[in-house]
Amino acid sequence: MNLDMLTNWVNSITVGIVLLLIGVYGIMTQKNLIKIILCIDIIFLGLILFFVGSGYTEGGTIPLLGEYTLYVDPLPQTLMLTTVVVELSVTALALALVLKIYETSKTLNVKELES
Amino acid sequence: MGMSIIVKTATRFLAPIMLLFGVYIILTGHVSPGGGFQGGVILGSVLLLFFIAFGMREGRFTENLASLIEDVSALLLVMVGLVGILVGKEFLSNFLVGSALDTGAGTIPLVNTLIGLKVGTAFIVLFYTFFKYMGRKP
Amino acid sequence: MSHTVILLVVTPLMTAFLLSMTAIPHKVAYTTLKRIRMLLSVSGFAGLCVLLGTAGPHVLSGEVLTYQLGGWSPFLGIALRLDALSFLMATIAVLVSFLTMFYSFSYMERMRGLGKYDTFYFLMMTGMMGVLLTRDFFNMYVFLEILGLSVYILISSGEKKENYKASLKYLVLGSLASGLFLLAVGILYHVTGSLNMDYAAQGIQGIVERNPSVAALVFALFVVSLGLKSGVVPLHFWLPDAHSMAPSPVSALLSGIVLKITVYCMIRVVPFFGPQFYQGVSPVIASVGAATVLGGTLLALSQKNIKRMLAYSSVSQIGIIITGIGIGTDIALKGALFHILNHALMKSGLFLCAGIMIHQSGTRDIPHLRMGTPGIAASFVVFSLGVVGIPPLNGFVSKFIICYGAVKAQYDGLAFVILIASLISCSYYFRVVQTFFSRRQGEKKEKRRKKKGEKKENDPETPLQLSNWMRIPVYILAVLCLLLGLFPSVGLKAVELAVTVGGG
Repeated sequence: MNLDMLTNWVNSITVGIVLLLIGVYGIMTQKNLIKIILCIDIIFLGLILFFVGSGYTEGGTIPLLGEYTLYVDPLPQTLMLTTVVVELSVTALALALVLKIYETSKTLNVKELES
Repeated sequence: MGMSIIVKTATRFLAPIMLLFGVYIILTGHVSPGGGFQGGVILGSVLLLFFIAFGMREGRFTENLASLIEDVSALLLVMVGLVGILVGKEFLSNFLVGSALDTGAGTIPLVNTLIGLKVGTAFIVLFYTFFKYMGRKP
Repeated sequence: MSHTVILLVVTPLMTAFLLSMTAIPHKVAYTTLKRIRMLLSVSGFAGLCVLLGTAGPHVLSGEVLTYQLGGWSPFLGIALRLDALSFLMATIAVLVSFLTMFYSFSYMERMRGLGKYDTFYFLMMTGMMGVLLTRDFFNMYVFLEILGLSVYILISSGEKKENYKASLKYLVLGSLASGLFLLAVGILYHVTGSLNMDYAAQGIQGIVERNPSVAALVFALFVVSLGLKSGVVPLHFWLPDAHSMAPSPVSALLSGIVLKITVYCMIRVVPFFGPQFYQGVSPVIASVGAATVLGGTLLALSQKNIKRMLAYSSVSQIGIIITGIGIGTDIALKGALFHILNHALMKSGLFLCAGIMIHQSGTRDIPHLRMGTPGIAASFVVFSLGVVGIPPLNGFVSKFIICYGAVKAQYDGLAFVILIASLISCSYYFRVVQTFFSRRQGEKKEKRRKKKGEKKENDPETPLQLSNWMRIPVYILAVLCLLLGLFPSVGLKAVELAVTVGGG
């Protein structure tokens, strides 16, 4: 198996899916609250990579409507701007909640918080 | 409180440039990468730089003023959409295209400015809240 | 062309921002501030009711109101649509939220969450209206996130340790579900080229014929993500914590409406895949529904905390609705929609009653609950009879229609499961009702409270005075349940129109 075949498979789409799976695995197994929140971020980043990569066409240039015919699709990039904002708000809220939980329970371990 | 004198001097020098850069990114959002949210984040991070360099101190740009600007710009944003209804077309339609105030992109720079203001002041309120929380007496 | 559709989304948004301006600290007296907030909230809801009222006659006569945002063509832009199904869900949402808002005027007196509780209440309404009206997949994701964020903040506005833990747990799992939903939307866009539901539906039909594994992947992602948000059984473990550890009006809203909105999304998304695909997957959805029904009921049996019991009961009722969707025939779908309406009324009434009873007894354990006022106890009895499914009430009608649909579609086992679950739910609801009639516990609590009454002045757990704001919504909900049970034709006519116009 030479390097050519490998680089055919390693593009944004597959890397995005791999990041998403790593994030899901992380939420399931991590015990520290901050790490769980970081895994939510990894899920969203993997998704963003997947989306942006799915709009790419081979040899496409910038999407100027009158001038170029083969252009990269700009819609996923715009959608991902919105997704980044949503992810930001969710992360900020989650961190504020973790601050409050730490203030009252003095621990960040999920197992100790369950009891 | 805060960091060394080199950082403080550099912050005093850099803060207007950062603000200008943020405003530039907001205003040219329709032709180059950037736009409302990105420029707003840069505007908000100027305050973070000040807090890190000088320690938390509530100057003239208070949290209440930031909250007020945030709500007013959110309301204005919805009103820009409603103007589209008043003109006769749908909500959020581009009513400036072809009129005297057009810069080639219609309502996009206006909406970008309002979003940038809202996001910037939201970040300012966020940083004020976090720093006040960290500095409270236990 | 009428702008009612977009004004349904814009009105709560503007009200939310106006209410947020009242939360900035300034020198206005607190009672005036409270009156301004009440006035703004009531006028916001009045605006929503007026809009629904003007759109009502058009929609109920079969007309479908569409709206393009910004005038862009449907292929490129965001389309909104108000048809009978959206109208039915919007009416339920506005009704239950309106009544719960009156309840929360006096319940949330002490814990106002920095004054932004009302802001996020109306942001939640915006999210709900947005999800119900949109015809664009990414727009649905954005509004689901707005709804979710507002709900996380509302849960944590009780400002106690358990509220924060419940909110964080719901946040992590809700974000995971949203991520999977977005992945499904991404794959759909990559394969069909449009985000609009109508255009994507045609593309999906083509994909089902040419490349069925991709269609199956997208379908599975949709069902798993929306099911996680609705609380079906393998993925329900966030629901009891989030619903029981939230303040009571927020629990009522969560169990009553927010779960149903993701079920509505499932109703919208699933018919796109075509009738043959649906035939193939309907046993799967129906069996998932049956597992949810049984799981929720059996887990509710062992609960001592009344709000956890009600949360598990919510899980099992959502299972009944999903069974109705899974069976797929028109009759079962009608029963499922009617059960959405009924369960929203009954479960929110139950949670509001539970809130009053908890604060009058000072405890959440079932054996120690006092009766409280007789009116609230009677309403609790009415709601529990409805959930169990006893004839003069509305729960009986919807469960009967679903069972009838199941039997007619050769799914006898499902009808059996629903009936067994109703039997078992008798036991845990009547366990609560039984405490109303036992005097020994009541007398002991009376003596204990008289001894401790003077000591606990500032404790937030002291029983609060039962104001009319808290009683009247419960009575209105109970009367509505009785009326819908005695005259079900009103509800059935609305549901029939929703199924023919909107469903699939």
